[in-house]
Amino acid sequence: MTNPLALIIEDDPYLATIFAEALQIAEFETQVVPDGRAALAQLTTITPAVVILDLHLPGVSGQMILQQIRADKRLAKTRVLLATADALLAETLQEQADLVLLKPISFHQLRDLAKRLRPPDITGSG
Amino acid sequence: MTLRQKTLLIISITLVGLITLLYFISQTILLNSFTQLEEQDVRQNVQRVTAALQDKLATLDSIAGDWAPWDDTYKFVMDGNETYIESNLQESTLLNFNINAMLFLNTAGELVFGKAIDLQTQTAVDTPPSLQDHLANNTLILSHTTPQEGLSGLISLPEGPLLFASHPIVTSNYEGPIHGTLLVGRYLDAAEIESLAEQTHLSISVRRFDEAQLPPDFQAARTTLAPDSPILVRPLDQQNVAGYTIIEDVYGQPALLLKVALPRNIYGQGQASLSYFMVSFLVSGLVFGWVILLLLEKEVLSRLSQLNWSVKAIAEAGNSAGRVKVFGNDELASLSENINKMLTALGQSEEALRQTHQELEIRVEERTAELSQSNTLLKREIQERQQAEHALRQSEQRFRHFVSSISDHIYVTEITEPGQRLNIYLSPHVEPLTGYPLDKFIADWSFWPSTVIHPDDRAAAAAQAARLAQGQNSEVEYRLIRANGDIIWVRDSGRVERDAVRQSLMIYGLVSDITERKQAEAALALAHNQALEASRLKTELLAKVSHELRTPLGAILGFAEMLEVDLYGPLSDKKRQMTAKIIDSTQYLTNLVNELLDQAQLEAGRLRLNIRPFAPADLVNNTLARMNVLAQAKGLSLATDIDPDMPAMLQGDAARLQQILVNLISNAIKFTPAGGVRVRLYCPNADYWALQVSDTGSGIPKEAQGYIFEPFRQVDGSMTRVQAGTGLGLSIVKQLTILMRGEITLESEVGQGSTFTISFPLEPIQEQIA
Repeated sequence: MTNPLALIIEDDPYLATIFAEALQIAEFETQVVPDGRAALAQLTTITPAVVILDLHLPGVSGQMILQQIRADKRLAKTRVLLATADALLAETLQEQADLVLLKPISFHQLRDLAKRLRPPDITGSG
Repeated sequence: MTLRQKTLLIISITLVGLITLLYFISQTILLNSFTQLEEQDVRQNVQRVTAALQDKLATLDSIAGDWAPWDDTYKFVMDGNETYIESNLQESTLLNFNINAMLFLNTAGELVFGKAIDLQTQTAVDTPPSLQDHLANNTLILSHTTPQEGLSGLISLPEGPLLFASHPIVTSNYEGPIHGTLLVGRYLDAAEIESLAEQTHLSISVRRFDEAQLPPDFQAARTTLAPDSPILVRPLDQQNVAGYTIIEDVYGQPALLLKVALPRNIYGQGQASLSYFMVSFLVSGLVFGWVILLLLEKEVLSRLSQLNWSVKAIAEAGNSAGRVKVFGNDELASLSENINKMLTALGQSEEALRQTHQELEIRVEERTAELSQSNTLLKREIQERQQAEHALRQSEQRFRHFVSSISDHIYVTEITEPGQRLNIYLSPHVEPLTGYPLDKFIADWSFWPSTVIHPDDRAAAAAQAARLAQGQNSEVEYRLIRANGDIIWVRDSGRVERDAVRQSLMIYGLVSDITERKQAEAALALAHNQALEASRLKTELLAKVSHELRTPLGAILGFAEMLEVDLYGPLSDKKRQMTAKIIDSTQYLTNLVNELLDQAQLEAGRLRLNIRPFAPADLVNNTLARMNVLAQAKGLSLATDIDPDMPAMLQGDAARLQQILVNLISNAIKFTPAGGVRVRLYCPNADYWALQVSDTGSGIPKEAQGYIFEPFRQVDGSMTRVQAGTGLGLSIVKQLTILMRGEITLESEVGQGSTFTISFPLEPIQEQIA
């Protein structure tokens, strides 16, 4: 029995650590990618249940990654949580994302949200 | 003269005239008739007298005719027998015959016998010699041709007139030859005239025709009487009248004048009748006159007088309400009625007149008041005019000072017809402004547009001139090239006035040197752009800073929270406390960053609302659920009051509304030491819905209520750490409310708590297009 996968795309290592901790407590498998380009490459190989996506990333922007995910039918069930410091940009992407969280993001809040985002059937593979 | 007097006068004059006329008519006709009658009477009487005289002669003739043809007489003449005388011819015979003489003459005319007697003395006298002389001289009396033929008549003898008769002496059978003549005579003496008078009962007097000493009336008769008017009638006096006639002798010569005097009985009767007639006429005239006057008086005059007095009384009283009495049913009654009608009409017209008069007086008063008012106004106007004139003079003087003191160039130009410009006035400041002499501009008005104005700006200046020529005020800024080549900026401001008298356009222009202003403007525009840029940079910086701050804040918050939940091993109480303070400070800082960003967004006008349908009750309940922890921590109650009539869904930016509500509630909790906070959701009227947050806190002083909505302002600086805020919360609330086209009001008193009310227009929910 494996936990669902959560892909954390965040260039700030402290925040990546905090997000990973919160999701792990919410019983997710976590992978952290600090770079946009790498994240896109990674997404071609895995099908995460949840993606925590920072918008300001080196390489490819979070916005581009969001569009890529939304364009990929394989990733149709993937829930995208935007974690951003840019309130204005976050607003414009509200429609495409499943949730928008404005930094600073509370550890407790993320943890509780992640728990609710866990897919009901947890028998699937990673 | 009164009507009564006039009537009296008219009647009197009529009466007098009538009587006079009547008198003269009767005098003329009646008296004339009476005079004729009288004359006729007198004539008859005169004829009676002459007839009586003829009778006398006839008597004499019969005596002679008796005695002459008698045989005894015949014999006596021839024989002279004395017996005949003695037996027949006594003195008594003559006396009986009442004759004076009897003479017997022979055919030779010689007296045979003569017997004479004085009848008065009854004694015999000699035959009068005068008679014998007369007979001797006049043979006519003795010349008888036939025996029957006799002659009688009158002869004038010196002793008096004598009546005689002669017959030829013949036989008793009237057979001749004629032996002589018998003559009997009787003196027409006083006795004989007396006898005649007695016989005729008339007064008779006789005068000899040729008498020298005739009385005047006889003399008049002698000259007047003629053969064709044998009788003359002359009144002697009022009582007597006389008739005159001539008695001729036997020879046909006038011998005597006979006068028959008569009393004027007929004439007197006529006079008396006339007098009686006149008197009776006068009396009846007076009586009728009096009766007429009386009747007139009764029927007309007194009534007229009464009417007159009534009308006069009414006129003197000046009261048209009075009426005259109406008697009877005639013209006067009709007149009275008409007067009454007239008085009624007069009363009505007087009333109308009085009303008109009153109205007129009122109008006159009004008009007078108006006049006096307008007079006052006029005086004031005159005063004002004088003041204005004075002011005008001062103004003109000031204008001259002003024109000479200001550096601007002033011009007045007249446009009489299109394209025709005439310089009316050019201020001398055109010289310092342009560097050219004033004369150049006066000589040629086109010098300014064609030479002085910068070639690049000439089109703009020409456009301004065209607008001015069309009567539009126009202001334009352009450059001038001064005589020394310097370029300056001027503002040419022209104001047009239509001169109705001169049928032209007057342009009053002011040319000001705005070079400095232009430079300042350029500098200002630069500064403004720089400021705008700075502001933009500030906003960008804020956005950047807030963005950059959020990441480390996230790390601090996250690690602190992880510490707090013992993720990295259990914490001592002290460490847990400190960790909580780190979280608290981080949240404060996060809030500050959020508000700074909002403020920057609002200032830059970049804040966009996300308008969607939302459930207001849910909004309130969710927000309160979030804030409840905070309230409970302070021991405050947090209540909601949701109007059941509120619409279930509204249109709006729910997130921003929540932000507002959170701000207001957290403020309320922050400043309320005890009691509670109450949130009300309701519709104050049909067009608005509202959120109201009331607390039982310390309240906001009046002076602070004005500025608490300004950014970075708080009621006082001495707030505790717990109360501390960014000072942006209420400012953002207000700006967001206004952005949502809403309104925020505050009711508060110190110690009485505060009530913030935000109200928004109710807008129909728009269906979202997916």
